[in-house]
Amino acid sequence: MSSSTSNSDRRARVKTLLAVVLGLAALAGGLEMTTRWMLYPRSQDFVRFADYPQRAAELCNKPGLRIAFVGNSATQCGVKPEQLVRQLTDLNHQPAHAELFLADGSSLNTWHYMVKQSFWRPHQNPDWLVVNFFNENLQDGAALEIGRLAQFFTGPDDWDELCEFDLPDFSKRAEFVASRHSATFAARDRIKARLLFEIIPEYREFAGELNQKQFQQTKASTTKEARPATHRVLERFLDCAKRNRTNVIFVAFPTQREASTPYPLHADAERLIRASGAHLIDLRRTSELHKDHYLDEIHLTDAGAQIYTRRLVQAVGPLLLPGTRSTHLAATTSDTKSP
Amino acid sequence: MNYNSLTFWALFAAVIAVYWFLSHRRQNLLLLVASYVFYGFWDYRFLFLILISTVIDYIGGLGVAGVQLKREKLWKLGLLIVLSSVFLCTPIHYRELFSAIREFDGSALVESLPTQASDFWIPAVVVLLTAAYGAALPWLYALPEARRRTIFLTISMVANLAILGFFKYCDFFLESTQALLGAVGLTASPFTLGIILPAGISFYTFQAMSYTIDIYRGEAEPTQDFPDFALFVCFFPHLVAGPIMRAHTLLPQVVQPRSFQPGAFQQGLILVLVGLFKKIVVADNLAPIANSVFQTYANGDGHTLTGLDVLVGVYAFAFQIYGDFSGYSSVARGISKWLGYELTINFDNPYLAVSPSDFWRRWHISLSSWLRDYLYIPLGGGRGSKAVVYRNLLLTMLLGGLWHGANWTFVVWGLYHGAILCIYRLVGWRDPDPNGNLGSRLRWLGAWVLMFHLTCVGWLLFRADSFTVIAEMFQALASPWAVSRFAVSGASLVGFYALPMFVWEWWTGAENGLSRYEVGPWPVRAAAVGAQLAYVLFMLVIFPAEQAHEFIYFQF
Repeated sequence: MSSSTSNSDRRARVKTLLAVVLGLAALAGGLEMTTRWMLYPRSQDFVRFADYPQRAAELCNKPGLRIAFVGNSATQCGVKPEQLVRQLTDLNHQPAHAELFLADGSSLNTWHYMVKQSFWRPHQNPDWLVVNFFNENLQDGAALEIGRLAQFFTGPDDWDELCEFDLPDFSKRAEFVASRHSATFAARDRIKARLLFEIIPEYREFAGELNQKQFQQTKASTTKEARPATHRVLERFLDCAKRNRTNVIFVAFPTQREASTPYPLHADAERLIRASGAHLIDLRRTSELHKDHYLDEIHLTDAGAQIYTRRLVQAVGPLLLPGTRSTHLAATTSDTKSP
Repeated sequence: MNYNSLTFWALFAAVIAVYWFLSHRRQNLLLLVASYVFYGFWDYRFLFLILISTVIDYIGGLGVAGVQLKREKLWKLGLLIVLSSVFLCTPIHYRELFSAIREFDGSALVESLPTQASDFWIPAVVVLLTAAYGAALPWLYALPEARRRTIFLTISMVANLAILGFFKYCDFFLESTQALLGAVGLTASPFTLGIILPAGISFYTFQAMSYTIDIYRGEAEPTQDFPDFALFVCFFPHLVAGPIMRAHTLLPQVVQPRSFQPGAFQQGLILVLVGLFKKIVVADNLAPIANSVFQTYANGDGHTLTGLDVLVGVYAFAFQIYGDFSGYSSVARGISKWLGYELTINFDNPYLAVSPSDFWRRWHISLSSWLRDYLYIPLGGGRGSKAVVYRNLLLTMLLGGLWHGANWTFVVWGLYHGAILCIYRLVGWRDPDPNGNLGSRLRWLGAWVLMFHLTCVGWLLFRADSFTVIAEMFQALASPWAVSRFAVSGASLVGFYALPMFVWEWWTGAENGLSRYEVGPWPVRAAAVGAQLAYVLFMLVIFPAEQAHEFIYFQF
């Protein structure tokens, strides 16, 4: 009797275990499909990230001056592509085309891979790559959205480089691998935010305030123990740009001067940029911009964007005149245009 | 290396992959090495402290029991301590040393080694103390039994408390003395030693002390096997944040062969997943809410928050600290089950407590029982006059508060809990029956709400940086409450993250209720387990906090 009872117990356990495992697997599969087929197409960010290689190819096939802007939401709010194109066309008397290749909250460690994937391949180079940056965007150790990087901006060939520069420890590498294979895992921050927006009253504003407070509190506590800035990622980016014969202009973006003093331009970064033959334009103190032109410390209003775009054209325009190239380049316009 | 890091799990996977294929002795050796590697990840220098504590209590425990160690063994232990002090407590630059060895660079090798006489002051002191203790041992062994037992116990206690006192409280007492001198008009130059607090020192020190005390009381047998005793002290699943294990509970599990119990895998998995959920989802997500409120007051900007904001911040901290601490204990128990060990339950639905004594029977059970058995009862416990009992309660809770950290706010927190224990005793409180008639249930409900908020008052004292912050926060709580966005969203988030955990623990009886999953028809069991696992896994994958936070109790 007892052995048959224990046998039936064992069978029940096995059935329970199987049912649980299969059920969880089905749920996981369902979640993954929902993420890939429903959530991804509805995300403006994910749609445009997936589109970047094609937009890059289209940009490179256009006649005239071809400019790719790389940056984050500051660039999105600050640069008006139509105005820029119009003013550059007037200035340079040749058709101009501009595309924005952006990722919210990103820095050079992400832009490097965006550019590498979209442009740094044979016969696909814009005439100019303009990198808007501020604060510590060009420094090592900037925050990295690993899920986004894994799903959209990197391939299997990037693993060694990622391990050397961007994924310093086992946890981050494991997160990258998981994000590479699971869209749900890669997009979890966004899924979390979306769900919380729906469930928690006024969550968006609350999260913004909390992040701002945390940022200020972290800033106050880390000024005493600031690590010296290093620029290996910048060096890497410049080396790749040089190898791929890409003309690069770095633009120091103006943050709201009433909120804080302008961020420093590190001498090391300046030296690296100029030594590589790239250009560095300092627009940190754009005098026409006041606090009314800002939504917050970084993002410009529409009126502010018009002013900044105009200043950008004035600063960058003369560099973009035909015949002006970075000193390390020997490529002609016709080379970069041929398929 | 925390439980919420992949590095830990990679190391654990490497251990468990071979563990059950080894003999009992080799299992213990593997766990010992793994425990030292785990602890050394924090700061390898503090391995020396844990070794010192281990050797002192090993010799002390055997001395209390009347077992004389052979001279050869004593020499080996002395050598172990001296060599440890050389390799762990002198400024050897190991990275440069290994690099020099790989490259056969003699000059770099010499540069990586300490060369000044002053670099060896710790080993010098260790040699002297070790030699003195070794020289005294034959005399100690020759003493009459009662005196020998007392002296060995005293040496063990004094040594452990001296180490704990120095590393945890030295700077605190220096600063407090300077503040006191300043208050009476005497100036003293600010001076502290800048001592780093070793992770888990309060936990393993109390555990080691309980070993010697239990032997003295005849409640435990010592072990003559040094590696076994070392494993008892440093067993990694519970080393840095408990539960504090008693010798008569853990040591037999170390000494005797273990077998993998039926159901251990499933129970361990539930405990690990629930523990990670509590830490990664509940504690780490509520931390920014709590930190925002307390830090705002610490920065002097408390006027920007309302009383309701403060309440939400305190609620957030209440569930943060519970999720953090009970999560760690839960993972520790789960991992231990996979290794064939049974650790004591450390939390039993503490936020369902209806009185202070009920709370302390449910919160950090291993510490509260330690304090009860080794402090409260020896002081007289509940026997004697009311004044004596209240004194015992206040003293025990004061020391319990001080155990948590070197800050007067912890002392006040402890005294506060002592005070409410006394008050409940004074009024002759009896815990109402939650399963009785309607009146009894309503009394239970009222008592529960009251006790939860009394606990939250204690958490305010515990978490605040200073008495100024405490005063300002109480002032805000006593002022008219305005409903702010922070309060609404913050309270909603506290409910979102903490309520499911609370309900689950109420349903299962927390760690006591794993057997709930063993009863009922298999489709019902499958549905219950599956639904709960799906929820936990979904939350762990989708809802980890943007920033992982250190376990709160690691600082104790």
